Amino acid sequence: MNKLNEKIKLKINNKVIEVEKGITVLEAAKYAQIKIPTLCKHEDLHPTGACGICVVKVEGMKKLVRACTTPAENGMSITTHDAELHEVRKNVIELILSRHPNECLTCLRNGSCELQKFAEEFGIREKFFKPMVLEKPKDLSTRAIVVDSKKCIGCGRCVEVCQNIQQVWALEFINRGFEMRIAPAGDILLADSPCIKCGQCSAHCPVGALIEYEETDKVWGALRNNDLYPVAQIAPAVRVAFGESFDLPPGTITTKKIYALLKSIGFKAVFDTNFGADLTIMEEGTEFYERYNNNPEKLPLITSCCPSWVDYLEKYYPDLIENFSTAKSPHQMVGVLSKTYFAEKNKIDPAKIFMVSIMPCTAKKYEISRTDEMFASGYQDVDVSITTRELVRIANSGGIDFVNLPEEECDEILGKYTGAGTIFGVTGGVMEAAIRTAYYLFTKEKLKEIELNEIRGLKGIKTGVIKLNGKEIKVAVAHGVGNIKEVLDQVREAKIKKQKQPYDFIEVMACYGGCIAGGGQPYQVSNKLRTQRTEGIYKDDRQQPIRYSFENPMIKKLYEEYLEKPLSVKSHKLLHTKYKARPIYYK
Amino acid sequence: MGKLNLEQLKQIREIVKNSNKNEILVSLGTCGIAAGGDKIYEILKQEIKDRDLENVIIVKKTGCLGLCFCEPNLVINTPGLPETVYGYVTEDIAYKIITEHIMKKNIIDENVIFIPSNDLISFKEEK
Amino acid sequence: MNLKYLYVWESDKKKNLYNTLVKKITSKNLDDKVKVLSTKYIGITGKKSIIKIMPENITYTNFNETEDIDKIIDSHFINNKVLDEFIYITDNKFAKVKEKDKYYKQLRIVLRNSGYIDPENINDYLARDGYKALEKALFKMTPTDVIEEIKKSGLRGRGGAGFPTGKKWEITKNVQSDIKYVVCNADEGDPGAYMDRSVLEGDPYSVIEGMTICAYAVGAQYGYIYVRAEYPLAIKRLQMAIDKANEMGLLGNNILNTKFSFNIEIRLGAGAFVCGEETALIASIEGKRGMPRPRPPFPAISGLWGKPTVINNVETWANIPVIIIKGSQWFSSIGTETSKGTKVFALTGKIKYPGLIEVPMGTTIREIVFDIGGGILNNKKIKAVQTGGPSGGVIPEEYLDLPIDYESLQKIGSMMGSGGMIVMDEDDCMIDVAKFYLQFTVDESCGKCAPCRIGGKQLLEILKAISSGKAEEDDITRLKRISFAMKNASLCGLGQSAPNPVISTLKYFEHEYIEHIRDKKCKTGKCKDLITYTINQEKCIGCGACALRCPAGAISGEKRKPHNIDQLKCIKCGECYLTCKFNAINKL
Repeated sequence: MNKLNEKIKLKINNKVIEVEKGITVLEAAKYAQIKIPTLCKHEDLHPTGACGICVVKVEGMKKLVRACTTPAENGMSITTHDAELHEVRKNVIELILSRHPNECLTCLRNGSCELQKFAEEFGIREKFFKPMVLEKPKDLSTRAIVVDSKKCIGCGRCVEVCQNIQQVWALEFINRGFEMRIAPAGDILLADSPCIKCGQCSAHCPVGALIEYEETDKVWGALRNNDLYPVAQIAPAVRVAFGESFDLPPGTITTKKIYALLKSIGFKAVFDTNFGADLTIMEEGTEFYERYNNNPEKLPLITSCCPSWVDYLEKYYPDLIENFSTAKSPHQMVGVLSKTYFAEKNKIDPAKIFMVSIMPCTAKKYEISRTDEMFASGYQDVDVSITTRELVRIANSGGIDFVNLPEEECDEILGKYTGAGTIFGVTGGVMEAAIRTAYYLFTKEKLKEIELNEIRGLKGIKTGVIKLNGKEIKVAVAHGVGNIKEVLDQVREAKIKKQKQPYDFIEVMACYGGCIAGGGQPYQVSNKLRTQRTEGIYKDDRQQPIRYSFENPMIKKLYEEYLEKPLSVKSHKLLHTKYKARPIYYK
Repeated sequence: MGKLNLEQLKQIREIVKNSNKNEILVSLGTCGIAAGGDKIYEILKQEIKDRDLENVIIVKKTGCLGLCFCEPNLVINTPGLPETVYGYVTEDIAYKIITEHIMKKNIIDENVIFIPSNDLISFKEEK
Repeated sequence: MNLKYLYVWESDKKKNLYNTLVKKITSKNLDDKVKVLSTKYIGITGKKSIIKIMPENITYTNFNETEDIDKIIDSHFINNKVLDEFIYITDNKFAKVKEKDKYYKQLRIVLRNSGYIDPENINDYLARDGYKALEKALFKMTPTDVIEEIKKSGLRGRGGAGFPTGKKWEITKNVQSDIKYVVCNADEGDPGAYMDRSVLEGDPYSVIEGMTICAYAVGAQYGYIYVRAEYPLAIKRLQMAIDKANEMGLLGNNILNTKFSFNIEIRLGAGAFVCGEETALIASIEGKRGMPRPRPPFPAISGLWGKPTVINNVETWANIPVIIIKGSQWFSSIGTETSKGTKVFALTGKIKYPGLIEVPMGTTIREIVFDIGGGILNNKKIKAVQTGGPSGGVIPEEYLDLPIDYESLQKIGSMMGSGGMIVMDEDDCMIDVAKFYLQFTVDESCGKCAPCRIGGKQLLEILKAISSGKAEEDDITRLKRISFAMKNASLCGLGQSAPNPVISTLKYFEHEYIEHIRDKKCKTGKCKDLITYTINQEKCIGCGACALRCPAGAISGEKRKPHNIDQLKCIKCGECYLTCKFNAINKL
């Protein structure tokens, strides 16, 4: 413990500062108000030292060292900026640019690209080195994430995320030297690899080499087609991050402005995925109640609203498929209901309804046609799923002054939500919402302390015990696929050895931090940002008049008028899905 | 042989140091082999066997002497002659080594080379 | 029986000295006392003629080959008196130990057993003081004592970086850890370097003994020898040596019946030069892609699987047993102030006597080339000496009197590296040399960091353009800027030193670059694209032989009339030049 508090003194650009021992030179420089330029370093990830731009001079050392990996030592004297260092950095940027295509104007990262920023900062005005651009077509195979290798600068962030944090190992460095590229092992298509389409790679990529599969054109096409009835729904995580792209502080709740935005660009109805979240809780909570009392051998019940997570389990743990909740994810539920319940009630031809879901997630693009059950309405339940980033682009090209939009309401029929619905966006939220309802199902009483702190927060695996009716429900919450393994291995072992399961109910989110840090959210994710967005979600929960899913009046109405009750035949047909084992590598 | 203790180690050294040192050491590093040294090795072995000289002299493989320009080369220790190093050894010279050097005690003209360094281990200070 | 042998070496092809001596010995009736033999290599070079008398081991040189012969024969063989005026003794001033040779500038410490022992027979090694060092260390010294000795000896890493070995061991010893590793870097990847291979093939036990002593000193339990797979004989002999040592209790559990246990395993490389870099080597042993990682932390503190690891080169290990037996003071009397001991070099290129040499640090390059290597082949003019392999630079003639040690070579833009030394003459093109090395490093770059991955390829493309006449004026600036970036911003030693051949050839031979770029000429003729073949209209008799030979159909002309070469079709293969019997083809 002493080591953490130990202070050291060092000089940076002749300024003496005192910092904690154990931090890097890069971090120490911040205390001297100096920003050492970095390209491959990302706040979320361990530094790899790949780009060479953060080099600094340390007195007494012959060679330049990388600020991102060198630990700060007592008595160091460091120069971060001088003519020589500038020359080194500029030449490295120019070298990177020589292997990068000149496509800024037509690139999706135009304006948000980190390399572009450097070219500007270093005043690059000509390409002095011979261009040596890789000729390779884009890999669009997953229809969720696009791999555009010719733009890759080899920073290795995506490999770090995919291998060490997600531990999916879909991306790897192949070939060596100048021919080095990032691709799945064996240079196969991404869709044939273990990729679970979580999009964390695209969220960390500094340039346009890994990017979401853009579908804004489809949305505009629907909006401008007079024959269609375009409807939209937004995910919980979108509302606290969308504002960041308009310079609002992270965590600002912009729900009603987004409704207004969607309405003004032409959506005829605006729903809210949180309604679907409440509905999911009704179905899944009841499912848990049923299983606990009647089929305890099928416990633990594992949540299934995260499509990357579903893909992961189908590939790596197919033996645990029977533990999945059969409930669909919230946006799929809203999707199917929009083309059945909503269409019937409002006498709209469901064939004309065009459902767009706006998600913090790239995997949803894959989910919407994953199985036949995603067509339960008779049509594709969700026609297009776009990411938060794509909605930002739509807003920007739709001529909207977002920040000054007056707030509006959504269409409550599939849009009214409780606090339990909105917390779906954060890790632990689905579990908390489920417990709030399950408690009522078991005890017929409302849970008093509804903010379950032991399953909140950024710890990779969180566990808790809920006491009700003399029973103890053991729950576990895991986020970031790399953390899920540990929990699943315990479940698998207990199953094989026919021992008592360590948990009864498990929530899993593939993205570390939960959906608020999803693969489709605005760039620059970090733990600070995760915390800020999470705070926004919990604030949204607290300011809701109703915080229990079963008290949602529109949900009650839905069951009364249409679905009868949770897990009814109609509910099963529309709101539940099936799973099957899939190969980790195709062919 | 079994695991040694200190005493046994010392004994082995004594035995080997005092043993008969009549041998031909053929340089058979990869360079020597590439230059044809293994052929030379085989010829020498066969000749010594054919002529019943196995009790007089044995042929051994060694590593590289560092004298790559004159590979294949070898070191020969035989009674009656000082230690001699031959370089540029062809098959012809190999036979001559048996007939001339070993049997007639004639050092072969032109092929002797000198290792350009003292032997660190068997160095004996001059008086 | 007391026959004396008079060996004659002379540069004269007609063997006049030999014949004179034979005649004189016969005429003086010394035939039954003295045998005259000629030799192709007497160990000393740089002289016109040398005679060596064995078994007394006396060498004479600098004598007049007609006038002084009688004097020498009479004095030495008849009067039994050594003739001091012609005695040849070399000054080996950087080897202040008694084992230094009177005549030769080499001092074989690392190569002490190579060529003398059967590497597959442990008894041979034991007889030549093998394992005496381990005995001494285990039974008469503490681990701290061992480290002190190595520190005092001044031994520095022989892999190229030259880090003080004793200091490295001390750092590892002082880290608290239940597991520590000792690794031998035998991934010798420099083209033209084969010192490590010779040690592994000729004396594998010396490396094993060195590692065992280190394990005892730092507290390690496991060792790895990382050998490149392209050395099958070395791998075979190493494995046999490990197995034999295990069998005899000199390796493995409870070595020599003490509590000390140390186990070694071999790990093979897979054809990647970059895995000779220590952090990439560690990644490779761990089963990962061989890519370097940033240092600090250094492997001595956190290396293989995060544990403290001592990594040293084969040559460094081979020195350890000698230092322990003969003592640090003995070792530190060899070499210069900053660089102690000897270094093995692979002397190759346009040299008369290529091979492995081992010289005390401080020996000059001129001595190596002319006094040991025999001078330039075919008596051509020396142009430069390249040291350090693809990480090193060229040393032009004006620096030949530089003493070889870690610092002095770096000062002029080269480095000692692992010991490659390539001699170049007037027929070698410096751009061709730089291009050759860049081709190698570009091929071997791992690709992790942008400066090396992209910068190396850019340098190579520019050099290719220069050597094919397609370069621009700005290209020299480009070379300098890219080299500057690579040197300063690359992640590992491969990238940091890859531009050295370019930087040093540019520094000392800029005129050659300018000739190639501006004049599109390569004076040595090595850059084939810059050669222009034309037919001398006066000399050509129109026989048509060249036209028949030309694979591009570029030569035309009427029978018996001077022919012409169409430059646009000419592919510069040089066949016409080789074919013409009338010297009518000009090669410019």
